[in-house]
Amino acid sequence: HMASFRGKQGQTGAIRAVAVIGKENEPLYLETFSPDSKEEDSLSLHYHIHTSLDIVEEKTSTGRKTYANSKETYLGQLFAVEDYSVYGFATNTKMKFIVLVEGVQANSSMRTWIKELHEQYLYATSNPFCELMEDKSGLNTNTFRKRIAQRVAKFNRKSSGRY
Amino acid sequence: YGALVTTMIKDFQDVKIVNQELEKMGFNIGLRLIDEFLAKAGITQCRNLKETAHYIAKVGFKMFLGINAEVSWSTDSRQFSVEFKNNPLIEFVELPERFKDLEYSNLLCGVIRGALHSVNMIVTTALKRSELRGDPLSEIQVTLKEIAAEKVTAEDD
Repeated sequence: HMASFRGKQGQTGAIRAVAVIGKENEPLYLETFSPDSKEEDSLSLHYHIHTSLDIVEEKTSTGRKTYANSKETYLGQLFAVEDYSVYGFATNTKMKFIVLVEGVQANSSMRTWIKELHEQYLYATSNPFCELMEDKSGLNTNTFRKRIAQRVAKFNRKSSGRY
Repeated sequence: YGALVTTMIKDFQDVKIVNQELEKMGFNIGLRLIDEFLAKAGITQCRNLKETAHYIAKVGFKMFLGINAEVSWSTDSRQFSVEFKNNPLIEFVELPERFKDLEYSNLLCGVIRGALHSVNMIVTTALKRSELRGDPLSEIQVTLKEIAAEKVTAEDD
């Protein structure tokens, strides 16, 4: 199956989309990353993320716990579609972090990356000015976007074997 | 501290007023803080302004904020600046564009002014540079106005 991956833009293993979803399943942050940003690509990526939410619901409602003392659930690979795999992580406050990657990735590297994403989310939402901003999620700041974009770029460089 | 500042912004609606109120709050804190400081630092009096500056930056900031600060002097020997990085008050804080005139750490200016006031040094303080506004470090400028004479209050009778 791995052998049949073409890699749309010739780059396998790259993160193509990242989403942070709130507890009412409302999107708080949703960004797609393509070398040559194609509009229809963006839309289909958004669609896949949306689909993944149903799977997240399913997985979190069965009360599966990864660690004994933690209610945070790394959900692993949620599903695969076309050339992509979707990975998810949910907190016990029903925050969901979804990452869409080309190809299949090792769970350990995805878990590490999503953990970093979660950390950046915590930094951003700890900003006391969140509630005085237009977007109260605190995730619509240039700093948050920039940091996530940097981490996506770093991950993508590593996965394509280029440094 | 962040919740305090944002609540004040919501209440006063005016950044200038918030700046003033933060300074006032700091002043009141400083008036009392000086006793704790002197006791813990084991000193009773500074001989000159240079010592004062040193104690504020090297001992005070470390004691109450856990950070190291530097003193820099202007050509006017009655004026010095306390320069510091990694101000714990601003951790996680991102100042939105519309609050760029907010002097977020102004409380610290008031604390210095209040503490010195309690030992009869009348100063003015100002937040000259701020990491929150993109400066490489934060700087509080302290200017000595006068050394007040010891006042005998009515209660002393």
